Amino acid sequence: MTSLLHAARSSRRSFGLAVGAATLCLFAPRAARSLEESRAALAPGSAARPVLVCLFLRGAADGLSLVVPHGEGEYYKARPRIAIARPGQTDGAVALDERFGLHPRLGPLAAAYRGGELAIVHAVGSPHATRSHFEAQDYMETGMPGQVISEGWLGRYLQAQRPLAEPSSDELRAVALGHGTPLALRGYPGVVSAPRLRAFALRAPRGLRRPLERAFLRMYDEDRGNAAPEREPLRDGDQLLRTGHDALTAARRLRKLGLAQYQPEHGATYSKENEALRDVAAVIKADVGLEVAWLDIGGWDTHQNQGNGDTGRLARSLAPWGAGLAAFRADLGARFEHVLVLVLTEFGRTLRENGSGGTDHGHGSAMLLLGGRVQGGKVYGRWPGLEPAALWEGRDLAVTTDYRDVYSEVATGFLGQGDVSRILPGHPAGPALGLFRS
Amino acid sequence: MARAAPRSKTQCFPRAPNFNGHLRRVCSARALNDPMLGFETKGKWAGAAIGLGLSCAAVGHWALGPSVPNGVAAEGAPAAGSPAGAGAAALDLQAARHLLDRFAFGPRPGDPERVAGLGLEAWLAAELDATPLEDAELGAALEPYRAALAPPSELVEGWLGADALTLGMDGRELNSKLEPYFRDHLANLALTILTRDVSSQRQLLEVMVDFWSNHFNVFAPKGLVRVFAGDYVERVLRPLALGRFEDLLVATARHPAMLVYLDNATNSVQGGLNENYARELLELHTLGVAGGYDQNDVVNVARILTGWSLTRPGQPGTPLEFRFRAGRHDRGAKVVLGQGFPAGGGEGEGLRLLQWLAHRPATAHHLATKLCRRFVADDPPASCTAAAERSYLESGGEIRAVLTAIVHDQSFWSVKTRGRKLKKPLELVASALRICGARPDGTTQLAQTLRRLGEPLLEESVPTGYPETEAEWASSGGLLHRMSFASDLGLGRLEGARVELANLLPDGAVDALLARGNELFLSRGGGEQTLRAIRAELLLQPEPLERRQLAAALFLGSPEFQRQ
Repeated sequence: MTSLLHAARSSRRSFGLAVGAATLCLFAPRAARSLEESRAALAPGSAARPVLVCLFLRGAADGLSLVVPHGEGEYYKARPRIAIARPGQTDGAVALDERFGLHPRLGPLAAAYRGGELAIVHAVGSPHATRSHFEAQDYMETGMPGQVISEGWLGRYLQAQRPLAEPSSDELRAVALGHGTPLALRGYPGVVSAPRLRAFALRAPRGLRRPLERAFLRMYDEDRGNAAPEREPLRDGDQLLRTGHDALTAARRLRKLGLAQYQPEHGATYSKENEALRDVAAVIKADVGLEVAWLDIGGWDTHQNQGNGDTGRLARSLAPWGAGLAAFRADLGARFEHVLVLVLTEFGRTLRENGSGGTDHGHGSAMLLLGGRVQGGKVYGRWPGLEPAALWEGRDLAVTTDYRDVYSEVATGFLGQGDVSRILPGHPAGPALGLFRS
Repeated sequence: MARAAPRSKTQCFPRAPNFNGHLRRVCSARALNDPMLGFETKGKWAGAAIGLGLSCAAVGHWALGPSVPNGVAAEGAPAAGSPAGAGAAALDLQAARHLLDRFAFGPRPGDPERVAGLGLEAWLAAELDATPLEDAELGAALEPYRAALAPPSELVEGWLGADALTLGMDGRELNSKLEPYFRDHLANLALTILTRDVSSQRQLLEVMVDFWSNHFNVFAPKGLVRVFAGDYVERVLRPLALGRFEDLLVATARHPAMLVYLDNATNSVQGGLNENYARELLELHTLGVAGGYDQNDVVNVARILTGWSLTRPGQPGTPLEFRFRAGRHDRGAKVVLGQGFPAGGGEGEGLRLLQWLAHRPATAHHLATKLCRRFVADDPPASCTAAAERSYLESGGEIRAVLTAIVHDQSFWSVKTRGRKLKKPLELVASALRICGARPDGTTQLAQTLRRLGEPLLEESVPTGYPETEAEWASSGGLLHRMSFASDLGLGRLEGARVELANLLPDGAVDALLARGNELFLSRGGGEQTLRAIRAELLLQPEPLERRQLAAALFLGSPEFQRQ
């Protein structure tokens, strides 16, 4: 029992026990803010850490509808029912240049493209030929196609940046909005993951929350060797304990941030569907050390009724995110200088529409990069064309840019990593794309 | 760092249960009468085996398996279930708890003692028995939700009137008319499943229904799947859950729930192929992603299955059901993995394909791995997978045989296996209700509980179903919801369930309460740290009733209870 109260050994635990030592209210000065963080908050720009926000479109989003090659006759020939119409036509693409346009539901981002904050990499994808969602998603997340790996590229980044040996008690370096911790972030054990950050709380009646929280914190404290006789020690390196303990401390932290009270700025408005972006904006502004936010978004596996610019499954799935990202950009104001939104998917879809007004699993797709440091207003990557001979296996958009080259440039050009070999082992850096302003 | 290699070294539990005499019992159809179960199992196992056209030698092979735990083959051992469970057939309490954790949705109070006395073979024989079981308690518990299980056409007519299906509505119109009924319907459907998981005496059957619900996942909120999902679980997955894999494969392929979910209903030679089902059939349902097929095979499987569709709503006198539409079928010759399908094969070539796939070694390997992952460990031990795979191939894909092989593999009983697997949300909720002697209260609130925990039943949109391995889904937010669920249930605030703790936990002193709670809730006993943490809080709680509730909440939310 005595050791339970001896709290000084681990700062993580000491946060749990020293209730109220730090008051992390979003709109009031914090009592215990580190010097570095204070500096960052005072002068956004100088010492602020870069924040990477990934929107992973799980299910293989159709890159040819997201960023429409409206200059290609082959595109319209292959898709009599589901092509996005040419710019200027009803529900037509929003023109970016004479070759490409955005899906109308991504239209709210056109201003960012013109303003140089949005870049597109087209015909991007994996060197691996798999058309299995689950393999391809794993490869996108590990950054190591063809290999079975238990750590993701961003988990490795967070560890390379600063290993989580003795984590700071009031940090929130990585959040994942979705079910489970995405493979991309595994390898870093401190991820806060939940479908809704605002529901990230221990639910208990008023008088009993303290006792429950206290007891659970003790039970899930992995540092206390606790093997009962005759049983395999449950405790040794048990991720469940660490996850439970981190969850309880993070819940306290988030409670104090008061996400529900957060007021977006600069006229930004979010909807229920994209409120995850609102929560991420709030956490960024709270200066609690956020470095990576990951959003899992579904609804892209459009084998049937994919639709066009206005109706169908794809337009429905896209609508909240075009508007949401535009709001997010506005909301962050000057802080956007240190933020990068990366929109990615595991592979693209067939050029030709199928028998059900949809598309089947394909190969190359598109990525979007939105941020204050992005060298935007440009479609990057060699466009392979859609002529029959140019198609991958006679059916799909070919891949001309390896997705790891984008990751690599994000790591060096945005995250400030000198050496990416730890983050992307075995991948020699490709030709520089020039995605970021120096 | 590479993913951890499957544990190859397994340790046999020192007091491993004894499995001797099973072969003899089966072949001589020795009586296994058990008054506690209220039915007779005499000869049914053997009967089932003969009915499947298998020899006793084959039965014996699945029963004993290649690696029977130590202490086997005591001659003249008493029949399982004999009084006091004396002799080799009995299980110790720890083993019985482990068995109930994995092959059932956890123990109810008194179950470990009962199963320990019964022994593994008698318990397993009863669980695998194919004859219907009169289960009045379950029947009563299901009553409030039963309407959700009506056949699809009756459901539609019940909501929209008797002539709803003859009005010429197309699928889209029908769907929008049905929209207002779906939420309640899916909640009721979820409750039929949860109620069975909590109350059914045939626990292994329900565990397997859950397994197949994920293996052959459908997403109920998608279009007309909502009308068919209940029928799919009730009249396909449950009746076939313990039978031949081939039958399940064919029945799921032809069921409208699957045809709509993975779009094969619109796969047509005229309009164009739809590869969705074809690919998942190979990748997820049969061969596995490393099963050796390529894109050409996917296309040819899709061609073979063109025309597998359903009846059009709106035609008088036609129920909504499977229909082979010959006009949509690709009549050309096809080749799948070297297997030729000559031109003009029609509907029959699809059946031949499915039957052929069901018996491929890659399919055996894929299913054996998934079943061992479910019952034994996230990284399934090689011995277990090998035993399961062998029994699958030797029995022609009999699920009973594979399950029998898994439960007899020593890796299942290893101390390294016990208490190591994280319960999935459904397993957590069902096991918590069972150990508290609770059950759904006739409302559908518990569907909401499963949703909060991240796995609402029949609502996983991706065709893999909910993941089985901890790394894929364990999260900090999920764990908070588990603790919140435990608090709600223990404190008597969980909406949707009736809980009466008074009979389970004593009123009295803290240490008596702690000891009883530890014995009741935690199969392997709580660790020191957990028990100290609970004790410290109980000492601060002066009110006996509240102390009891707090104890239940903390035990149910402990790390040990999250595992099985």
